[in-house]
This record gives sequence, structure tokens and C-alpha cells, in this order.
Amino acid sequence: MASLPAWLGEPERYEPVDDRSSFIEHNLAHLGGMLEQVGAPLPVTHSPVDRALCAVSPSLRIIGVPAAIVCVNATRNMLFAYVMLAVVLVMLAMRPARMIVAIVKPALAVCVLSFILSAPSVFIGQYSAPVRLVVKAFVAVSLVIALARTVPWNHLIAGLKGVGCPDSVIYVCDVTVQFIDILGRSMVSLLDALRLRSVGRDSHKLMSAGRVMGALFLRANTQAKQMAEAMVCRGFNGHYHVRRDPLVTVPNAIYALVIAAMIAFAVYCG
Amino acid sequence: MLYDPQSVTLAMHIPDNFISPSTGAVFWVIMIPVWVLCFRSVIRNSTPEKMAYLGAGAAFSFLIMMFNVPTPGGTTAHGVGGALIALLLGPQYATVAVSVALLLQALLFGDGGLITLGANCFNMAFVLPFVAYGLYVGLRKILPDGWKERVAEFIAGYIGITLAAFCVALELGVQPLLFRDAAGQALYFPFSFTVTIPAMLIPHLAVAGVVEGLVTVVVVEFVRRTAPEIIEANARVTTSDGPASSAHSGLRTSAWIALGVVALLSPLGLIATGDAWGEWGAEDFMAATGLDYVPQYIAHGFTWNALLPDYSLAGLPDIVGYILSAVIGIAVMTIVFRLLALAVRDRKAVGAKA
Repeated sequence: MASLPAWLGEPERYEPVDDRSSFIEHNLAHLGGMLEQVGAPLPVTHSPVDRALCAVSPSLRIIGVPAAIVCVNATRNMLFAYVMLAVVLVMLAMRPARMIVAIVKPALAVCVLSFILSAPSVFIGQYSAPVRLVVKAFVAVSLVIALARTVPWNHLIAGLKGVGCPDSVIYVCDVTVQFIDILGRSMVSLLDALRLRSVGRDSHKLMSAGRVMGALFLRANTQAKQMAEAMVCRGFNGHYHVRRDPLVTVPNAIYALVIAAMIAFAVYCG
Repeated sequence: MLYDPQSVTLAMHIPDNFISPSTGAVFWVIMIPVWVLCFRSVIRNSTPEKMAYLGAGAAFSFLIMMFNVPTPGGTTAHGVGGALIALLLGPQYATVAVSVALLLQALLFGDGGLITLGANCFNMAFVLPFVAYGLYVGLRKILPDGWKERVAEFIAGYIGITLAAFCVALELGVQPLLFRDAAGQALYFPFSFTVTIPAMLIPHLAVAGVVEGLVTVVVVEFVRRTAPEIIEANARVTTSDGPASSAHSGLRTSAWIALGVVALLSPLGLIATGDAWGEWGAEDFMAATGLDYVPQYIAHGFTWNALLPDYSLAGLPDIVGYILSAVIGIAVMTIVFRLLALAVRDRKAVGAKA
């Protein structure tokens, strides 16, 4: 019977020095949340507001939402901002609870940031700035997020054609979203590998982070090459055509009228 | 969250309502020709390869922008990565990639505004990569290789992001001077230059700039070591008249057009309202900041416009004065840079003879 060498029999207590490698956890959490949003299927909305809005073409809504934001932004009279806040809140209240959470969370984050940034202005005599910025920020951000959460991203990007974006830009945006998903996943696995291997104190965190980014860049390069080759095999010649949705429909006309009424009201409020 | 270094770079994304719609529109007008030129120069012959690389590059910059970089003390900060992409792929490419990333952030994630997208792209997708790339190309002539090259990369990232932050400070700081209601209350961002410039520049000079510079060095060196063939075409711009010169001339054309646009747009500062860009006198300063006193520098020794008083030359309408001052300013800058380039060339010629 073979006996164990003496050094193997000795008890060993290895306690690695504690370290805070929060950048790995931060990035994993951050990326995980983002990938969930990118890849998530469109939440089925039961709200009458969204059902009605879904009939409107995304191109028109991409014009309508910035128009609303410009109106809120440009009016000096806060009456208009409060009316818009009421409209936005009523629309929000009619949505399913999960959707409300998804919209309110980022909107409140921007409101908090606006408040923190503008609160000290009270000391230099600018009493209205905090309220003004917070109310307007809430209206603007919740309008944009509601649009992003209720229209599938590919429809939204295709809708950019309605605002005069060339087809090639829309194609690049489309490919980008897909690459964000692919590269995001490879970044998660790179960070996972890094987390498993980092034992003890790592004094070269920045180098590790830099290498993760460098490896991601190389991965983006090979992935792009492979995709281009695959697309050539499928007969892609570099020209991409986006179908234009018919613009003259009843829901579109009603939406345009509502936006026009809103602009008129904004001008009236001044 | 308040003291998190993340909020430092969060400030680089200006949300809607922080600047006036007219300011937002000015930056859209500036950016549209820049986008068209950069996109055209990147995609000159639209081959499937180029299109795929554009998408991958934009996705890469999107991910880099949300990557938390470790900072001492176990905390993290965000970089923008604009300098990195400019050095790896070229500045026009960086403009397109970062702009697409910012558009998707604004449209799909509500990060940064839609009206302010032009301004955000101007700061992070135009000023940052072009300044970083220009500095890098210039510095490489005096800092050719080895550790010196890394110094050039660091300076490119450091100065690039600091200048972008300075632009943000100017855009935000001009708001209370231009847009006030009858009661003197600011309509948009409430603090003027005295607050925004130190608030943006100090954290960027001390932390964010260092992070951006170090990230640029580490990643560019990593890519150079592992895949030198990718970087050869862009980051290692040869000083001889090789194939790089055509890319160079494209860069020069777009820089000229951008400068021209800025010069033509400068009168918009007048159209907006009374006083603009650092021209306020002592009374305006008191009214704008609500302070009862005027800091000494502003009251006496602090003049931006020592050479061209009030930007309007005597006896001319204001707009003509504005355009003239812009043309003179740009011409002076160009002359200085051309003289610097000549000095570098002469030194090299002397070195070659010896």
C-alpha cells in the first residue's frame, strides 16, 4: 500500500487576502440588466392606450414624441408642463403594473439626478429651477421609455426612415442591436471567467478590465467578418431596403391631429 | 448614488430639458453635416464587410460606454471610450459608431435626451474622438514608439474627454445667461459658467480623464500585441506619404467643413438673445448668478475678448462682426497649427541630414 508523502498529509489553511473586485460584479449586473432589456420579448399590453397607439405607425410616433418633448421644453408657462404631466400620468395609470414599474424606475432616476443637480440653485435665488426641471424630466423620460417599451425595437428603428434616415443607417442600427446582444453575452462570459479566476488580491484590476475590453474588440472584429461573409453567401450586396409603412391611415390621422392640438395648446400657453 | 464616481460621467449625457430647444437645434444643425461626411467617408463603397464592421463597432462602443472601469478604493467609474475607438478604427468611424450607440441609448433605453442628442453627439462623438485622434497623430511625430507612444495615447484620451467635458460645461453654463423668464428665473439649467466649468472640469481632470487615458493605453496596447494587423492601418499612422495620406486628406476635408459650419453658426448666439459666450459684463454677471457681488476676476481682469472687443468690430453690424471674429479665430488657430507642423518637419529634415 502506497503511503502519502508527508507534505500531502499536512493540513493546509489557505485564506486568500480579501479583495473588492466590484467592477466585475458591477459590470455583470449592469450587462445582465441590459441584455434582459434588449432580448426581452415585447410585454403583452392589455392597456387600451397602448392598443390604440400600436395602430399608429412608429415613424409618426418618432416625430410625435420629440414634438411633445420640445413643447414641454420650450414653454415658459408651467401650466403646459403640468397638463402634460397629468396626461402622462393618466396614460401610465392605465397600463399594467409591470409596465408601470418598467417606465417609472428610469424616469424617477432621471428626476432624482435632475433634482440633485438643480437643488443647490435655490441658494443663488433660482427657486423655480428644481421643480421645473424635475417635472419636465419626468414627462420627457416617461414618454420616451413608454415608446421604447411598447414598440418592438426593430419597428422603432425602421420607423427612423420616416424622419429621413437613410436605409444604410437603419441597417447599421439594426445590426448594432443584434451585435449588442451577441457581444454583451460574450462579455458576460469573459467577466464570469475573470471572476472565477481572480482569487486573492488583484493589484492589476485596470489591466484585467482593459484586457476584457481588448478581447471584446477582437471578438467584435471576427464576428463582423463572419457575419459579412455569411451575408455575402446569402446574396447581400451592401444595399438594404427598408419598407415604408403607409402613412395615410385613420389612426395616423387621429394621432397627427392630437399632436397638432398639443402644439397649438403649447403655443397658446407660451 | 450621489457620491458615486459614476455620476461624474453620467453628466456627459445631457438629458432633455437641461438645455433649451434652440441650443439643441443648433447642435443638430452642426452634427448633420458631420454625420453625413463621416458616414460617407466610412462607407465610401458600401460593401457588406464595411456595413457589418460598422454595426460591430457601434455595438462595441455601446458596451464600452456602459463598462465600469475599476478605480482605486474598490469603486468604479464609466469611461466614454471615444478616444479608444478613434485610435483603433479612425475618428470618422468613431463618430459614426459612438453616434449610433448614443442614438440607441436615447431611443431604446431613455439614457440621454432626444432633443439633446445632437449636443451629446457633438461632445462625445465629434469633439472627443477628433481631438484625441488629432493629438495622437500630432504627438506621434515627437513621441514615436515604446513608452513614448503610450504617453501619446494617454494624452489623447485625457485631453479628449476633458475637452468634451468642457463643451458640456459651456453648453449647460450658457443656459441661465440666455434663457430667463420675466422674474429672472432660469428656464433650463440654473447654473452658469462659474459653477459648470469647475464642476465638470475638476472631476474630469482628476479622475475621469485619467481613467479614459489609462483605458485607452491598456486596450490599444492589448490589441496591438494580440492582433497587430488590425491596428496597423489606423493607430500606427505612418508619417511618410503612404496609403495613410488618403485617409488623412479625408479627415482634413471634414475638419475644414466642420470648422466652416461652426463659423457660420456662431451668429445664432446673437439671434438667441442679448448676450452670449463670455461677453457678459459685471451687471449681467450679478443678474445671472444672483450674487450681490462680482468676483474680482470678472469685474476686472477676466476678459475672453481682449483682442476683439465684444466680438463686433466698430462700425459693423453685429452679425458681420460675429462671422468675422469666427473667421479670424479659426484662421489664427490654423496658422498656429501649420507653423507647429512646419517646425516638426524642419526638425525631422535636420535630423535626416545629420
